[in-house]
Formats: sequence, structure tokens, C-alpha cells
Amino acid sequence: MSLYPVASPVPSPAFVETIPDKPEEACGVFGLYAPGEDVAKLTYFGLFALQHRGQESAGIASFEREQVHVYKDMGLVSQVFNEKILRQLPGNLAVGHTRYSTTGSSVVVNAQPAVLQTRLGPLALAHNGNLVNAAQLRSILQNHNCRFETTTDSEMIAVRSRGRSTAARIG
Amino acid sequence: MGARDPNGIRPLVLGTFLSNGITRYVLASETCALDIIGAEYLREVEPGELVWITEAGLASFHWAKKPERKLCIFEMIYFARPDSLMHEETLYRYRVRLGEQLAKESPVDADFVMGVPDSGIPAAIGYSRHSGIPYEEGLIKNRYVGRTFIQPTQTMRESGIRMKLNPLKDVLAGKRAIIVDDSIVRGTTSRKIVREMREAGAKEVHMRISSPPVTHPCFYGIDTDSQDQLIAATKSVTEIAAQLGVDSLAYLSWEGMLAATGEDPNSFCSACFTGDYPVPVPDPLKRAKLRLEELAV
Ligand code: SF4
Repeated sequence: MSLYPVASPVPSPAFVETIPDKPEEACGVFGLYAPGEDVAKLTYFGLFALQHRGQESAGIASFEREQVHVYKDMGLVSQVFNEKILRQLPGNLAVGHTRYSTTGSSVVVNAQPAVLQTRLGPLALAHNGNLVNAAQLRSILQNHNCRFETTTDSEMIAVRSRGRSTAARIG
Repeated sequence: MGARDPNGIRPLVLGTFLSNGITRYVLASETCALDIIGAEYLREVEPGELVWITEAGLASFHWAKKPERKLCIFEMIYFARPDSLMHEETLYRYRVRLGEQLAKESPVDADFVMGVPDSGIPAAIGYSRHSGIPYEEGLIKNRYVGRTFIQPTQTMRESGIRMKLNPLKDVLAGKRAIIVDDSIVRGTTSRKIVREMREAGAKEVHMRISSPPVTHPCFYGIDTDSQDQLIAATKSVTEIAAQLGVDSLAYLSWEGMLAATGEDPNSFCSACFTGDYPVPVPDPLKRAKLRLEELAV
């Protein structure tokens, strides 16, 4: 029997056996604007309540004026974050995401929120669902010289919205 | 900024809370995430609506030309937490009604009704309530661990599901049980559960499912398997019953599932039960998952 590497909490085929065969939820999203509050911590608890919607990765992006801070990793919300990490996510506004991959494989770069620099400032995107026209969209955007950092469909929304908005997007 | 697709397939809600005397807005997939931070549920973000939250408050835009509500019915049946609100009531109450409807449609005589923890329990309560057959707990879920990444030993693996669900022998022994679950996808877990119940001494096992047979894959953000892995895509209810090893099996009707919502039946997506996809799915994507059907291009 082999030991499971700590850094990759992706179930092995043998382990999948013990997971109930239910359809798996795609994602949970959370976001708020509340100057003066610990927005990262509130987002953490929001994601904690939405853990059933995705157990593969979790991430939070916070905005401090034009500056964006982001932390995301594979694992449960409670495994990814601790007090120290949350303290490094200051700001007036935060968005968070729990993910169960439906498109794009289970790797950290595909965790959300997806953060991009746009003409008007940084944009962080937390998305729940699948883009049914993902393949076409990707080639259209690539023809317009858009580059992708991930293999997810959600990133395309962020790329598409480039230069249009400066805020955090959720939904 | 928060946006919902023109069909509102996935849920998105808006809440408020007071911070230093100012009303602040929160967006979340479900209301249970508002409750945990002490925010009040305000309303859902409408299909095709975009909300913009700033210092000035909340602005709303309707960006979609023709929004048409098609909420994922599986959110109602299983995904969303039972304490989350949809259509101004908790999903617990909806799931209890599914169980009542199921008892109405598919009655059977037995000593008690039990649910598959946790997701089958509200419907089991409803089934018991409508049939007058007492409700019991026959399987206990280990709620104190999350996912564990330590592999079970070979012997443990063979014994199946006990890590997560442990049967109560003194409840099950010599009894006729009705076991209620919210859905069957591949059927592998259901089969293990039935075997465990028999080993614990259950005399009869009648399975009741509070949704119709899942025959089609989902393309809208839910990972149901590709079609060939869905047990109900290739097998009849009688064949599934034989494979699961139950004395009887019945699913809730599609009409019953939608009627229990108390909402317009056209305002839901139920494509995984019917194959009637509300948002067109491009062929290459379809081909990848719909392995059993000739594609009508
Ligand atoms: S196909 Fe099924 S799981 Fe997918 S959105 Fe529609 S109802 Fe939900």
C-alpha cells in the first residue's frame, strides 16, 4: 500500500470507492463589500458554509483600492486558510470560491478566483457553472490574441471582461 | 459585481448586514452562507441580472435580452443545503414534500422508514409522515470527519461503506425496512448500503427514490458521469432493483417532483431526467458525454 502525498488531495481510484456516487456540485461563490470589516474572514466563513458545493480547492481575493491580494490552494476551506493567511488579505471588498472541477483539471492554477490585470485595474472572478460554448469562445479569444493562464472555462469570462470593469465579479 | 446567467441555472442570492450603521451587501451561492456571517437574506439575483455593489449601495441592471428562469432542479433535490432558502422556504420543507408525494405514488407495507444520511432524510420523514409508518434511524453517518486522505486497508475496503455509514443492527434485524434516498446515479453506493442492511439482518429492503431516474448527463456545471455510467440510462427499474438487491424499488415521478415545488414547472431545468436541455449544447461536448444516443444534428 502506498502512502498518499500530502500536497495533492485528489482522491485515488481506490478512494473514490468510498465517496458516495452522487452528482458532484460545481462550485460555491461568495463576495461582499464592507469597508471597516475583516472582509477576508467574513468570506472565509461564507465559503465554510458553502463547502458542500466544492471540496477540491478554495480561494479568496481581496481588494485594497487598486491592489489585489489573492490566496488559493487545493483542499477544503479549513485546510487552505488559517488566521495568518487571512491577515494577508486586507481590503474593502473580497470574493471567494470553492471548487469542484467540472472543466479543467484539478491543479492549483485552475483554482479560483481568477485574477487578471485589465486596462482599468485588476479583476478577480469567481464563477459557478460551465460555459457550454467554451471551445468556441476559447478559439475566438485566442484569435484576438488573448492568452490564458489556466485550462478552465471560467477564465474566459475574466478575459472577455478585460478592460471593461475594475471590480470583482461573482456569479 | 455579481451576475447571473439568463436562465439562472445556478443559484445566487443577495443579503445585507449592518456595519457601523451602514447597510452592506453580500452575494452568495446559497442563503446558508449569509446565515453564518449574520447577514439577512434580501432576495435572489434574478436570471439575467447584474448587480453592482459600491459605496453608494446597490445598482441593478438587466443585461439579458430574454431571461428565462431554468433553475437546476437538482439544487432543490440534493445539492443545496437543506437549511438554504429557495422560493422563500427552506429546501428541507421541499424535500419533505417530495417524500410525501413519493409515499402517495409508491406505497409499500413495512415496519419502518429510514433515510440514507444525510441527503435522504428529509424525504424519509415525508414518506413516514404520509404513510403513517414510523421513522427510524437505521444508518448513522460519521459526521465528525471530513474527507480523509488516508487510504483504508484492503479488509476495510472490502467491507465497503462503513467508514462513512454504520448500520444499526438492533434496529434492522428481522425488520422490513423502507429506505429513502434523494437520487441514484451509478448505483454503486446504493448497492453497498442494501448489502450492509441485509447483513445487519433486515428481512425486507424496499428502496424509494425522491427523484426520477437520472438518464442524461449534465452540461451546466454538475459532474454527473457520462451517460454510459448512469445506471438508469441503460437499465429498467426492475433491472436496477435486481442489481441493487432490493425487494422493491420505485422512483418519484417527474410530474410529482415538479408539482412539489409549488412553482411553474417550466421554470426549472430537469434535463438529466429528460434529456431536454434548456441551453443548447454544442455537439462535440454532447458527444463526449452522451455516448448512448444517436446525435440528431
Ligand atoms: S441537467 Fe440536471 S443537474 Fe444539470 S442543471 Fe439541469 S437539472 Fe441540474
